[in-house]
Amino acid sequence: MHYVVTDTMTVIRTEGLTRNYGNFRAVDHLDMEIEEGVCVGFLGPNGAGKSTTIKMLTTLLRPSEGKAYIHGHDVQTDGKKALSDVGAVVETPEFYPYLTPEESLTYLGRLRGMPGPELKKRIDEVLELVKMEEWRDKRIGTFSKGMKQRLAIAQAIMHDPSLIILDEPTSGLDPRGMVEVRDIIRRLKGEGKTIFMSSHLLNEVQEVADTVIMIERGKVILHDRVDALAKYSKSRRIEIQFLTPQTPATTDILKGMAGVKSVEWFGNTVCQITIEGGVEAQRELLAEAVKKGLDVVSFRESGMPLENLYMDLIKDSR
Amino acid sequence: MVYDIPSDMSQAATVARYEVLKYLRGKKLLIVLAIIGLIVTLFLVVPPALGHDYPSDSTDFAMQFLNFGGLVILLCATFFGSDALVAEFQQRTAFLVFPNPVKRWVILAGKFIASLAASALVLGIFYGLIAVIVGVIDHDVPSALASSLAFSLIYTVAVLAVAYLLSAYLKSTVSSSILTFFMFFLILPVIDSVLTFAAVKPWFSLSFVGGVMTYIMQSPYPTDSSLTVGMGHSGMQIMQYYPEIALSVAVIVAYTVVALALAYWRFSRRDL
Repeated sequence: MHYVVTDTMTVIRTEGLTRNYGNFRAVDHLDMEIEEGVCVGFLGPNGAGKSTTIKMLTTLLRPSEGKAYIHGHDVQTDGKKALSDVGAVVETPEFYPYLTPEESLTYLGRLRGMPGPELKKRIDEVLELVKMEEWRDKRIGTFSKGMKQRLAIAQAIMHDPSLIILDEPTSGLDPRGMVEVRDIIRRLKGEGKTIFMSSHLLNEVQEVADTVIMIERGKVILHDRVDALAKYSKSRRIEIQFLTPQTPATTDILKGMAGVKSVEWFGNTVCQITIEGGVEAQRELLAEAVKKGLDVVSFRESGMPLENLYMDLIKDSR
Repeated sequence: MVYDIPSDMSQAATVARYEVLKYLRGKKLLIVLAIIGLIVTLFLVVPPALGHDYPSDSTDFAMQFLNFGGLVILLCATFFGSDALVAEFQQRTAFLVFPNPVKRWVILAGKFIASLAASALVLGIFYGLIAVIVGVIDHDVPSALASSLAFSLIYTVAVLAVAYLLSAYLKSTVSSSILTFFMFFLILPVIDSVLTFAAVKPWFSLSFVGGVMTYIMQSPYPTDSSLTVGMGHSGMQIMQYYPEIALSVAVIVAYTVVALALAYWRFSRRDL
């Protein structure tokens, strides 16, 4: 049956999207919906099916089963319409080495039907945005991976698409480049764009994404808002710093407290405790530590909530 | 923002324009033209250097050059066609182009148009040089040269189509280029020779029908013949086959249609 999305707020929709490589199923009947204006972090370990899903959304791969729709258009049968309002960076694309950034962007802009004067104006804007304006008339053949990645982002946003699909957008960038790309993503998010972004960098996702979709072995294991993730977390890590060096007796005291799963020392004044439960368990642990006379000078959650949750969920699914 | 996406034909023209730019900026066009220059120079320099005169008949003189027409077309197919599709995958430029609202057959069509345009330019220069040289030396340009050029152009379409077919299926630009070159330079000619030796006319062979571009210069057009070598019981009959023009055009059309259809089928289904 041919499916037509009637809900105009749904930008991406997959139905039973599946991709097999021989006997290996990379994406397994993936169902998901991405709504308009949302920045989605698409997470999962290596081989979970993130890139395969993105490739199927951008017509680089054909699904073995199922359907993918963008703005209501079937990506496989109506790719031209489906991709008309999409900007994508998939892996680190290579550019034609004999062209300059300006020529490459002009080529892609013409394929998209951007009129001449507007195309020139947008090329100026996006090259400035990705800090590549001084390289605009140099042949791309000699560019580094990071420069190509910046240019890839420039081509993805040049036509001002409402949906931007990014596969590891900070891959190949130095720390400064990563910060700049995150700033660009925030800016696009502020403009109301829908962003679907895969990444290995959990802090990156936590900083910019509204919603997280986690996949493992090709299946969605979590799809929720970033600010609602705490409820999924079964454990948290707490870093405690003591005023004076501690003895093994302190470890015994800590391990005896309710909910403590493990204690790991970093030197003899700092330890990291893994506890079961949420903020309540954290509060009780602190109260008990003080009550038992431990000279605590610092008590704080260590690691990011998303990172802790990721580790929990991925561990559970294996 | 959603722009008014251009028509498929308009997009194909854009793809073709940038492919031609690739040939102009790369060394491929230059190399092919240099080889043509070398062939022509050798034909001009060697005979006088060895004390021979140029052929006084303009058709014979032109045919000397045209014997290399097949090689020129093969060089065009190798340089402009054999890596056209496979390079998108091997060099990962497909990651840049494919996620755009452009159909794969449009990309294929644009590239093919560009390959054909570059090849036509090379053939135009080759035939132009022949016409000038023969005209200056023999004071006559054979009118059949135009027919030869027309046939060589349609023959180029078929050879390019086969090169695109190989390019769609093979995994590296090097293997695609090597196989394209040796297919027309060695493999098919050897098969043609073996079939001829076995008294089977290879009318269906693409390399065999390419001979029309030279034979079309002759008047009357040559017909199949046989030659007996040796005497008595040890005498052996050797067949001399010539491709028929109409049948050759049909063979060229068949190769073009089938090769391009298979190339498109593979190119449109090739995953990244």
